[in-house]
Formats: sequence, structure tokens, C-alpha cells
Amino acid sequence: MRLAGRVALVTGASHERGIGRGIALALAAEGADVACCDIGFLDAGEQLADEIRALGRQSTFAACDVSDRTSVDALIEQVERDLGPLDIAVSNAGTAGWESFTEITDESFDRIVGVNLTGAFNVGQSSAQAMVRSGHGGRIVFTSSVHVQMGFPSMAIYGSTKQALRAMAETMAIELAQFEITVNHIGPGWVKSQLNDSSPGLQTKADEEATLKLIPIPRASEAIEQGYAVVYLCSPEAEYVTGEFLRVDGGFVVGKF
Amino acid sequence: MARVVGLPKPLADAVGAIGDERTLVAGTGEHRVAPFLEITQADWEATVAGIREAFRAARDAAAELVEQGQPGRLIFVSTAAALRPVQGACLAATAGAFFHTLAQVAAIELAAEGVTANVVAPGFVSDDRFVESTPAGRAPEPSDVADVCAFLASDAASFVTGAVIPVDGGFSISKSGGGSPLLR
Repeated sequence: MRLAGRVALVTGASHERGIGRGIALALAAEGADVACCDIGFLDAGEQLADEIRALGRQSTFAACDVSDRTSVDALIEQVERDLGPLDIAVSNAGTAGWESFTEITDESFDRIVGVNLTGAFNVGQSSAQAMVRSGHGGRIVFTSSVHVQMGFPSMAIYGSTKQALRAMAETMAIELAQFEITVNHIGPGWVKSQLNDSSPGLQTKADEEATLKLIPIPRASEAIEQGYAVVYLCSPEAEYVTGEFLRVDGGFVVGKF
Repeated sequence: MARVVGLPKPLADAVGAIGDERTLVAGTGEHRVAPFLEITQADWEATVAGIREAFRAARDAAAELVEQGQPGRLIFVSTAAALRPVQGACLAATAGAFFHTLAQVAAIELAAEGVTANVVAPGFVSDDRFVESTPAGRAPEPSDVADVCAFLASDAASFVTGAVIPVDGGFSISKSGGGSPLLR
């Protein structure tokens, strides 16, 4: 077990089809104790914590709005009281919206930026501060997206938050290396997560078939596959990997035709 | 004269002299230089406010152009630190990078309307602290940025869209060490 004895936090972890759940389970399977949080799907979050405990790990679940800094700081303090010093932080919580560029509302901008960017800053900085305090180094992983390298019409704000996150993660990487903290981000391709349920381009079987034609490995990713990538970035083997973007997208970005 | 939002005065003056009313040049405001661990909530909120203001200006300008059936130009001003990270410049890099994808998605959606969207990513304008790490051997001046904006605003650039163009004398493609001059 590559992560035995490590304490991890995963945000946006609850939903049964979500990437966060796949990450939490993959970390636990490698021996980490995992604190999970989410703003919704609270029953599913408690069930996830039960599932992780059934693996023999410690686990907690808490409701948390990552866009609220006070809540994030309180969450991390609680995780450290319950499980011990934080070794791994996975900022995964995200939200999306589909609007044409000229019709994006201020409310939509604030909602998506609040969760995807401010939330990532809150979790990233609060985690890093905790890791510096403990003096044991750490691993920070963000869930960004293939949008970092590929523009999707009607998703301008979502994609832009992920690109901003990319630059933030790179700057964090070069500043936090002195504290033995690595900072990386993963780029999921198509996952049949709750986030994508309202995608106008994924409503019918024909929509799904059209999407599959864009992906060289012609299937959606399982959430646990995103978790495997996070496990690698948090493992001893990745001690020298920082500022990196690891796509797990079946070749989506590199395959235009 | 182009419409200009979110740029410091010397740069605003330089780019304001290019293009016409169908050109918008949008920056993200000024951002505190600080180590990542020392960024405050107020710093962060100011950066998000800068992003929001420029986004609104671009969205509204694009909507106006489309409604009038006019071709036009959206030009976003990012920073070379969004291409190659610089210690102490996290806020500027984060804000600048936001516009890389914003411009690219706008470019895709608005191409059929004759509206282009591009990004210029200047080095640290008029800041001599970065000269040693700039292959061209000098700091970028406002006129360097304005010249590229003028090209993007011109008819000659009508087929250029979704581009991110460094205006940095090679700063972002070369490596330097010894710590960021911003934090010395």
C-alpha cells in the first residue's frame, strides 16, 4: 500500500457517479485515511465514509461550501483533529454551466468562479498552510479539465476557471517546493458524472455516440480511473513530479480527427 | 479609438490609441504581488473582481457587435506569468490565464459573426528587474503591447482568433533561476 498512514482530504466527494468519490476510494484502497466533504448529497457522503471505513481505513464526512473560506479553514482544522496532520489535499469540487458567451449571466459567472476557482484557492491555500505548519510536506492535487487544452463552446466560464487553476497550480508548485509540497492537477475527459447530467450535448444516445467519436479510446472514463491518477501523484514514486498536468481523457485532447 | 478596461494607465493610454469602437482591450486590473501563502482574502476578492469586470465588458461588447451585425475585436491582456510561472505573481497569473480560455471559447462561438478574440501576454511592462531573464535584453514597453494589439485590431488579422501571443522578448520561453525579483 503506497499511501499507508497518510491523511487525505477530498472535496466534492459525495455523488455516487462523481470523480471525487472515485478519488476518495482509490486513495483509501492504497491505505490512506480519507476525510470527505461536499456541499450536497449528504447521505451519499456518509455512505462513502462508511464504505471507506469498511476497507479498514479511518474516514469522516462533513458538509462544506468550499467557496466560503471560514468553512474551509474549519474543515481542515477538524480533519487534523480527527485524523491527524494533513498529507494530501484533493481540491475536486466543481460546477458547470452551459450558456452562449453573450448570454452568460452575472449569477452564473459568480457561481462557477466561486466554486471552481475561489473554492480551489481556499482549499489549496488552507491546505498548504496546514502542511507548512506540520513541517511534513504534502501533496496537493486539483481536478482541472481537458478544457485547459481544448475550448468547448457554451462553457466559457467553466473552461476559464480551469485554465486559471492551471496557472495557480503552477505558481504554487514553484513556491511550495521549498516546503516539500508538490502541486499538480489532473485533466479528466468525459466522465458520466452528475456535473455532466445537464450538458445539452449529452442528453440522448445519439449525443453520446457523437461524443464517443471524438475520443480515441471510445468510452467514458470511470471515476476510479481519475482516482488512480491522483494516487500516483500522491505516491512516493511521484515525489519529483510537481507543476504537472496529467490528463486522463482517453486521448480526447490529442485526437481532433 | 478602442474601448479599454482594466489596464494601468501607461498601458491603457498606449492601447487606447489603436483600433476603433469595435475593438475592446480588456485587462484584469492590478494584482498584489505576494507569496502564495500570504495572499489575503481581500487580495483574492480584488482579483476576482478584476476578472469579473473584464468579462462583463467583453460579454457586453460581443453582444453589441453581434446585435449590430458588426465584425469586431476582443483583445485580452494577460501576462507572461500565466505562461511561465513567477514566484509572487500568482494572482496576476491566475487572472491572466482565465482569459486564455475565455478568449478561445469566445473565438469559437463568435467566429461566424466576424468577431475575433485573442490574448496578448506581456512580460513585466517597464520593469527592469526582469531584464537579465529576458533574452531580448530589455523590459517590454507599453508601445510593444500596443503594436501587437494594433495588429490584432487590424483587417490584416481577421483570420487570427483564439491566439495567445507572448509580448515578452522571449521571457516566457527561457528559463531563469535564483528566485523571483518580485520577492526580493
